[in-house]
This record gives sequence, C-alpha cells and structure tokens, in this order.
Amino acid sequence: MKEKLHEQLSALVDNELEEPEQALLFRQLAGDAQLSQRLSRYQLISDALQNHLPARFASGFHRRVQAALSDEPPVHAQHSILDGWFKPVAGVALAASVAMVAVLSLQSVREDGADEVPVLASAGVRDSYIRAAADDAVQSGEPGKGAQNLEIYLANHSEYAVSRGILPYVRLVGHDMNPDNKD
Amino acid sequence: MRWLVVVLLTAAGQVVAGESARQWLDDMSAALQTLDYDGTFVYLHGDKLETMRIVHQLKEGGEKERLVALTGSPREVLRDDRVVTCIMPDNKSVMIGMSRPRQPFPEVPRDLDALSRYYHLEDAGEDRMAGYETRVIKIKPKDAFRYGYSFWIDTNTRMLIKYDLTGAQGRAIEQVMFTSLDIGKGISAEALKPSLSGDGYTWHRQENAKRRPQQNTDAPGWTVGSLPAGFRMVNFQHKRIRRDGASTEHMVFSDGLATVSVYVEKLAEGKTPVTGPSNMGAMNAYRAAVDGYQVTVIGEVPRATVQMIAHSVSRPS
Repeated sequence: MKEKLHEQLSALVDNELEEPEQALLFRQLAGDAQLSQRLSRYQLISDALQNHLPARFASGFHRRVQAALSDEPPVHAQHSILDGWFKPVAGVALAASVAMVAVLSLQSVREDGADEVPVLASAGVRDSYIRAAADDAVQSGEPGKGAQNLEIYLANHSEYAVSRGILPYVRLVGHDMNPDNKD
Repeated sequence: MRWLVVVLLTAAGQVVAGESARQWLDDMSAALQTLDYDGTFVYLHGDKLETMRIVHQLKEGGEKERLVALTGSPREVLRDDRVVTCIMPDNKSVMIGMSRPRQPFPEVPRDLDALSRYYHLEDAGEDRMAGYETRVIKIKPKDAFRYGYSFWIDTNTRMLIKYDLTGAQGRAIEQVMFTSLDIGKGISAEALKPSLSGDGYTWHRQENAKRRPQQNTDAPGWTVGSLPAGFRMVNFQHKRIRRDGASTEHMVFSDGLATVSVYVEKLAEGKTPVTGPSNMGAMNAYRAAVDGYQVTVIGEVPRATVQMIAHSVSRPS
C-alpha cells in the first residue's frame, strides 16, 4: 500500500499521474504529514537532479538535499515538475497541491526550525517560487501590507465566525477591505 | 392577582415565541448545511450591490461549497470539510486554510435566558419574499456592541431566502437575498470546480503553529481588558499567518452569535505598525500597536466593539 503511494508521489512529481488518482492522492496528502514530507523530499530530489535549484538558499540547504538523496530511491524525473502544472483552468485540487509543494519546499529550507510550517510561497514559474521561498527563509519578514493582509485575517476569522453558517465568505468574495469606512 | 396572571402569560408567551424562533433558526441552519442547492443572490452593503452564485452539496464525503462573484472581480471561495481555498484574482493571490467543522448558526444556547440578556428573539410571522412563502425571525441586540439579524426562511424547505444584518438602530448594514434558487435538483461536479486557475498567483497557506517548548502553554500571553458583556474566549491558538512564518497569537471571543478574533504578532524590526479601522461590509477590523506588537481585531460587530477591544489588549506584567 505504502509502496503504491510512494510510486504515485513519484508520478505526481513527474507530472505523470492521472487526474482521478491525483484527487485521491491529494486527499491522502492532506491528512498524512509523513506523506507530505516525502513529497517534499521527492520535489527537492527532482530539482536537484535537474539542476533547477536556485542560486540563493540558506546555508545547509544542499546538505539537506544530499541527505534526502541518500534517504530516498532515485526519482527519474525527465522534465520540470511544474511543466504543465500551471495550465489554464487547472482544477483546484491540482492548484492546491502546487501550493503544498511550494510550502513544503520552503519548509525544507528553513534553518530555524525544520518542523515549523511557513505560510507563504510565491507561485508562477518554478524557479521564482523556490526563490521566493528561499528569500523568506533567510530574510526577516514583515506583517504583510494593507488590505491584502487584512483579507488573510478575514479568511482565517471566517472559519471561526459563528455566522459562517449563513453564507460563509460572502464578504470576502463580495468586495475589498475598505480602510476607515463607517459602518 | 389578575396582573400577575397577565405578567405570567406574557412571559410564557415570550418563551414560546423564543422557542419557536429558535426552532426556525435551527431548521434554517440544518437546511443550509444539508440541502443541495445552486443559487444566485444579491449582496447589498452600503451603496454597493454584488451578485454571487453559491453551490452547495452534501455527499458521503461531506460538504462541498463554491461561492463565486458574478459581478466585479471574479473572486471564488471553495470549501470542503478539510480545506478552504480563496482565489482572489484582483490581487493575484490564493489563500489556503484548513476548514473547521461547521457549527449551526446561530449557536443559540439551549438556555435561552443566557442569550436573552443580550439579544431579543422574535418570531415576526409570515411574509412573501422573492416568490417564497417565508417565516421572518428577528434577533435584536440589546446594546450597541453587536449587530442584529432578520431572516426570511422558506416555510417549505426551511432554506434561507433573505437576511438583513442591522445596526443598533435597526438600519440594514448588509442584505443578502436569493434571486434564483434550485434545491435538490442535483449538483454536477462541474458546478463545484473553480473557474480560475491561480496561475501566476501568490499563495498563502495558514497553519496552526507547532509550538516550540517555550510556547508550550495553554494560556494566551496577552489579555483583553474590555469585552462587551457576554463575550468569552472560545478558542486560542498559536498560528503562522505572517509571511515570515513568525507566530501569531489568535484569540477568539464570542457571545454565541457574534464572534471576534484578536491576532497579536511581534512587529518585524524596523517595520511601522498599521493602526486604525477598516471594514468589509459588516465585518469591522481595528489595528493597534502595543509594546512593539501588532494587534488586529476583526469581527462581525460594530466598529466601536473592535476598537474598544483593540485598545484593551495588553501583556500581563
């Protein structure tokens, strides 16, 4: 069972997993931290094999890659794992998985506590998202900016608001956060 | 003695009316969570009018829901029992968070007396709304620290047809009304898929922080000195919300109907705190700076409430 899951992870990284299987795998990933970590390792290995690692990473990053390489069987990546991932009209499950991969990549390069989960990764082309992740790992952060930052709080709060039972997220979808408006 | 009988009968009548109102609200809450529906509704706030579509399905795997704006920027929110995904094309971002089990709305305490200290529940009788025969249930606040609600509930399916959120003076601050609604006609998988790809967006993922040993405490490190009567802390967690992964303290307060979140996070060195009010419809936020920390208070309450709470956040000495 586990072997099959690992094969599916590998296929996912290689962009060779059929969509129905992807959906099942994403469901498994959402509830299995170990599996998610394994996906992260596969991702790093794939990048390392293809020499797609960005120039700038926190020190120790390459050690982690080496360690991951020694722990895992080879992943036969023939192409960029994100080739084809950012197709227009991709399903949300697929999109969410990309976020997960990006986030987990960031998790792997953090030096100040490998078990802590970061919250932001920039997506787009693969190099840029990894670079953004690396930047986050080595730079001090900031508490976000303006309305967009508040929207993150609003999204988070919406899961706790008792009133979400009515029509959740109407406000988030309905309009932007207004500074200094009267109620 | 006659006056006593009148008083007792009046009180008994109010209890029955309250019970009836609560039953309607319970039924509406259940309908929203268990029915399959695909509807278009208008959302009016201030002088702005937005049209949205909501698709909801309950299957063995749990609830699935998709909310999408049909006017303005085509924002979308997709939610199931595990994950919430918010796609915001106007600022090129996608937010992903873990969903929490839904609670009925309102979480009316079984002991109506507790709620009746702060709100008045009223069964306002029948009304015809948007072509539906509806029952109107009103919840009126007894002070200016919370909002009121009016619900128009379909007498047949118990589905919500319209709701108004009102200020202390009864003025509508937000209104939602369905203009078309299909119930129980089957939801296609296509209807629950996002129409946006998220290509090229910035992704935010919200997680609960895994506590470090020094953070291994069940009590928040901050206190809130001023809360409206009836509010109590119902949740507390350390989270990772910030871009740099630093921990944010999140306290949730509720009076059973309204909910307020308080977020406290250390300001990064050299960063200027953001202060002052903001709002999104009836959702008000107020930010303040306290001892080098950024305090953000957000909730479905009037501005005065979030402002009062924000200014009372402190760290015990």
